[in-house]
Amino acid sequence: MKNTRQLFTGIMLLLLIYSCKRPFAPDVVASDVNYLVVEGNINTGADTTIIKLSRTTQLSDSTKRKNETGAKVYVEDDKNIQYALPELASGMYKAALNLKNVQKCRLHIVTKDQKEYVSDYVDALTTPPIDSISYTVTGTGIQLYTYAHDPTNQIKYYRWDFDETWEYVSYYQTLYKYDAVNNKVVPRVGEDIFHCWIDGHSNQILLGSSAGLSQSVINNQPIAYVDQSSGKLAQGYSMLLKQYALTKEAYEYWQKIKKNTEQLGSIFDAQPSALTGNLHNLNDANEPVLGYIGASSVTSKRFLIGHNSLPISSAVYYPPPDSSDCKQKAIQFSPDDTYGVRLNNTFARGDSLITSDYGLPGRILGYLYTGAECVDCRVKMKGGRNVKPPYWPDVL
Amino acid sequence: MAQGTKLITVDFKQATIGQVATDLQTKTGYHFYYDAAQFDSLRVTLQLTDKPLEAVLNQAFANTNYHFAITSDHDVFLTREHELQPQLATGYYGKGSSAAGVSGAAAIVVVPDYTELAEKKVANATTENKLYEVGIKTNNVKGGNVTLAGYIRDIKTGEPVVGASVTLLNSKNGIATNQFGYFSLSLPRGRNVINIKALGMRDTRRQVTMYSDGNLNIEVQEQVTTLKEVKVSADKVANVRSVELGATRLDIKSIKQVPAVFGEADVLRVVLTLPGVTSVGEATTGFNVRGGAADQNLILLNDATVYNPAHFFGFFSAFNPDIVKNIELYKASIPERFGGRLSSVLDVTNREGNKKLFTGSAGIGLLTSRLNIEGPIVKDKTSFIFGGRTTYSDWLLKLLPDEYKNSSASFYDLNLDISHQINEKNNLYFTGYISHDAFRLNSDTTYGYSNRNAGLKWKHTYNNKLFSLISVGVDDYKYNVASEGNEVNGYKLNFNVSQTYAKADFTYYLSPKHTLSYGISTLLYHLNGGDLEPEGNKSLVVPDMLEPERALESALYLGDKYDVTSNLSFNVGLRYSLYNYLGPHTVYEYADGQPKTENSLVDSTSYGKNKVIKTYGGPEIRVSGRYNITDDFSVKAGYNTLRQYIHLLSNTTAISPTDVYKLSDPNIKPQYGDQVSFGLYKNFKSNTIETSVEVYYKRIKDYLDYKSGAVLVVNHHIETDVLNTRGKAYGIEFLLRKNVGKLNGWTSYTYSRTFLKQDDPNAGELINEGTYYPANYDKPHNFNFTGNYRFTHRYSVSLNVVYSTGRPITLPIAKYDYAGSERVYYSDRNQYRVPDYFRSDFSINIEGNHRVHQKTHNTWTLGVYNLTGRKNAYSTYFTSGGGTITGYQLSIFATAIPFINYNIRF
Repeated sequence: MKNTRQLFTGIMLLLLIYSCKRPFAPDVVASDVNYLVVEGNINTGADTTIIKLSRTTQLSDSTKRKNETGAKVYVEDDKNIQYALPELASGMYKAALNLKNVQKCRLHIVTKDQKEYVSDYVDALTTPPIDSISYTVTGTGIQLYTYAHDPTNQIKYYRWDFDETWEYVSYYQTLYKYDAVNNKVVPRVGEDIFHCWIDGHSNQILLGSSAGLSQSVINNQPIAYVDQSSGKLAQGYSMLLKQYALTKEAYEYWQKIKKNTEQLGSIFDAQPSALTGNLHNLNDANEPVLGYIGASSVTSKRFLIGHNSLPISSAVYYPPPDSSDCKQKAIQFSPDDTYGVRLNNTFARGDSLITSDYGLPGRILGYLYTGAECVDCRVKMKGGRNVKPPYWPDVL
Repeated sequence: MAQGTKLITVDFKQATIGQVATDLQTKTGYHFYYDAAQFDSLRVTLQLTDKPLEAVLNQAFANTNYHFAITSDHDVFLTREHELQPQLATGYYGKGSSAAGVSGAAAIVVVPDYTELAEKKVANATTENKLYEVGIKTNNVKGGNVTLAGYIRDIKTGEPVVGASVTLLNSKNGIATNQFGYFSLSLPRGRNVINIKALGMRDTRRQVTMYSDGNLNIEVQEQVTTLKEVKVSADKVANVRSVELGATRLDIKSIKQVPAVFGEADVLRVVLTLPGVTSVGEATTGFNVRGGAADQNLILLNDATVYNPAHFFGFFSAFNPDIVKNIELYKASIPERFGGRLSSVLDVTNREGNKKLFTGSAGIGLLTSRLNIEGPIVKDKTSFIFGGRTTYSDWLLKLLPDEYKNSSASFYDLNLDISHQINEKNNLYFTGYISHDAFRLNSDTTYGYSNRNAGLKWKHTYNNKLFSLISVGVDDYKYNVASEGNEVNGYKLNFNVSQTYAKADFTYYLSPKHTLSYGISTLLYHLNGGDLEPEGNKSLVVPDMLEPERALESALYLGDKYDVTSNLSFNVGLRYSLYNYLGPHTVYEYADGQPKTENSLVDSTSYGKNKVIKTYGGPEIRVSGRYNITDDFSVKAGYNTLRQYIHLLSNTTAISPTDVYKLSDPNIKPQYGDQVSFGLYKNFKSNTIETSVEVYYKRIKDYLDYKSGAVLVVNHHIETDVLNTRGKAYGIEFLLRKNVGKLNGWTSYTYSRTFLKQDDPNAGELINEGTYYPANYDKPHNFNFTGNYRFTHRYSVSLNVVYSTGRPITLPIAKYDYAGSERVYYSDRNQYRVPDYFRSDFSINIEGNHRVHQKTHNTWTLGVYNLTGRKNAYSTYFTSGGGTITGYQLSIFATAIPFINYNIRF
């Protein structure tokens, strides 16, 4: 029971002054397990079906992910029609399948070492729409909630994940750029490297259930907490929430994996339990295969909020880098004879960018510059891009 | 002397002294002087013809300790014990006065020689030197055995002394008083010396002359323990002499010496210091006895079953240390009168109220305060004792981060015990107990649980050899969780289990060699396994309620303590328990040979009210034997079987208060266990040091485990989520206990293993491929030291040291990337261990002053829990957060915790 668990977490906190939690690395458990991990949802709607294949790794291994490439992956329906999923990126098998009339289907995988895996046949579920997403200000951030209902009362179990996007700025805004071809400083026109957008993805398992209620209603379901210290609220924040209908079995599987990997550490912990998904090696029933394949349409809804709409006062810039990292240096025109060489030496590598000119009123003496990460938002955060997403309004 | 001249003829039949004296006075004209009270038990049967008075009196008082003296003035003085010399000392009138006193000393030769005792030590309590005469007095003592029965009571409070040993001097015959302080001892006619030893009481003895069966109540004095030594044993030789194995009795004084986490004596924590008892960690009420699960302990408070003996989620035990008198833990030889749980019986006994005057005590600690009052309602007949505790722990919550500042927690417990003596043969006892916990987190969830118990006992003594105890009562445990933060999902969940019982226990002292105990009991369970209701107007929660369950658990038992010789004794007991699962109820049937799942459900049958749906039952064997090799060295062996019909379903490592109970039904079999044990017991240094070694092997069948991810709350098909598990446990326990002297305490080392195995082919899922795996509480090495050193009468220090192997945990064997984060993959259960556990606690006890006669006595206790501040691991685990996994170690009480406690007695 969710609330009971929450209570127990509270009990632990209550005893916080007498208890403590500290990082701990047990003797590394050596094992040679190398199980196939299958992640994804057979999308029975119009969107793309994405199946990701990977392998388990050693706990001590620093690689985050070991993709399983070169497999033949397809969906089979109950009439034995096959729908191929080609590998479009390393370990990522995707295609838009038209499965509107499919009642039951399963996933079929033949790995490159010729092992054959199938999932159980699963019912194709129709996911009801997301009704709304709301937020409350909690502490120094916002807590997001979702609402949904199934008018047909068919769907009782839900899972969500989301892609989030937020806008951020670099430390300095600049009007100039270095023209490497001509080795000169020119006005930066039509190019904004001050405002950037970056994406994130949910990394917690989000589950909801209306089992036990008289109607299939998801009310005020917590989705995510976004703290201002993350910088995500500094300019504007958007979330694309995706909703998946689950069968009871799938819900139980996701509950287990959540309990095993996210909800440990209280006094009244459930013991970690063995996870058995719905995929099997056709020739070796005892080989564990990780993951659970479901089939459903996907519904989504976007939430977007601007910094100025938030009833919390917070900074608009979030380090790093901070002001001490972004000390400016000057490059002055005089002596003229070395200016060109100095200009080239300073900016040709691209790791420094001009922030502004300096001088006396009406007379520019030179330019100020600093590290690229202080000026170009794309450098500041890896993955950031200075192209405004199409759904982003001009004024937030 | 002239009295020899007149000859008289007498014919007395059971004549009292008055009749004798009047008759003789008439016939001789002599005057008789005596204290009638001293002679009230004398009956003279005598027929003589034409004998002088002296001869008549000689015959009449033969074999008694009555004496007579006849003076020349025709006065006759009758005395008891002390012989009167009617003539003056030789030489008083000068030489030649001839006054030959008649000595009755020769008459006492039949009594056993007790001069040795008298020489050894001059006893100071007069009652010890007084000769009590029991039975209908006759002037000639026949041979054979008679029975002496009576109560042993505290002279100050009138409270019965439980577990006191009553033994005959120079004999191995002995018996312990029962829970009412009652004893019945077989002993030869004639003069005997009885030794009485009791927990916390001064040793004493009584001299009795037995004429026939009779009664003798013995009052004993409390050992003023602050001034003298403390004993932790009921009887210095009990461990060697008793037939039981694996039984430990502790009185509240030794419990109070053990430093406790917040300074308040804690019954359950002390139980954990005993060999063979382990727990999964600091934050649990559950304790595991010899490899048993935590729900396999029967916890009794004055015979009432307490389902949840903890406050504050396990950080305090729910027993008030000011009311508790002693505890007894049975690990192996579980007496046949107990049943219904597999592993142990923890019998907590409260004190009886002071029958003579009003007293009380109060205590203040960091988190709790307590008050108790006791006194007579009718002096020497009826008394009460009331105790209450409450917490003011909210200050602790205020120390938490802001987001928890609106939390609150409270608990209280109340005890009321009344004992009433109707007459010599009938006593009534009432026990009432309530404990309540309420908790509200900053969030919207409130939580509460409560034990409520009421019981009435009637003890009736038929005669010296037979007495009975009839008990009736109700035990109840309930909890509720309510949440209304989310208006659509607002709910209230109620759980309740109650049992109504009636039982009759008889003890029959058949002969010196046989003590029989037999009885019958019945218990009606009423269990509401979960009742979910919507909370608030907008809640869409569908009311859902598990169909209430009812069952009757009855038992019949017979036991015989058979002393074959003084060195060889057996306890042979048989208990037959019978369980009826009763309607109204709907029972599901599952396809044979298939895992029980909702898919294999084939049929359901509804049964009407009181219809017997399923019957389980069977005999339970309780046998133990003891052979004394020498007086202070014995070997014992025992075998026990037990059955348990109620199960606690928990999928958490520690017992949590929201765990649900379930009765056995057609789909869930009762648990069955048996244990064989063997022990060696040896005392040293005049029985002041006790040592023992016990080994055991135990098996458990049909213990319930749960399937991965099982939902245990409001589950209509709970049988589809649980698995039958078998267990085996074995171990060896070493105990060294020093009961007297400035340094006293106990130290123990236990090596034990506990394994579980889930190999039910119909379960559909095997844990660790159906092989044996270590249980959560499997801690092979356990060392414990609990000691107290008394510097002076006012200052003492206590030290408690605990070491054990870390408990088993399940560690991941691989990691993988899934749902946006690195995650870990677990394989076999409980294949690794948390780091070893070590803790030491220290306390100083200061007595205010120790004059006995003053209005109040006060004591201070201050100390430090976890002196070394070691961060013992409660668990280690990995969690996924922010896309990566991190390993953590959780420690509870991970720092040295000082405490202070103030107690006042008035």
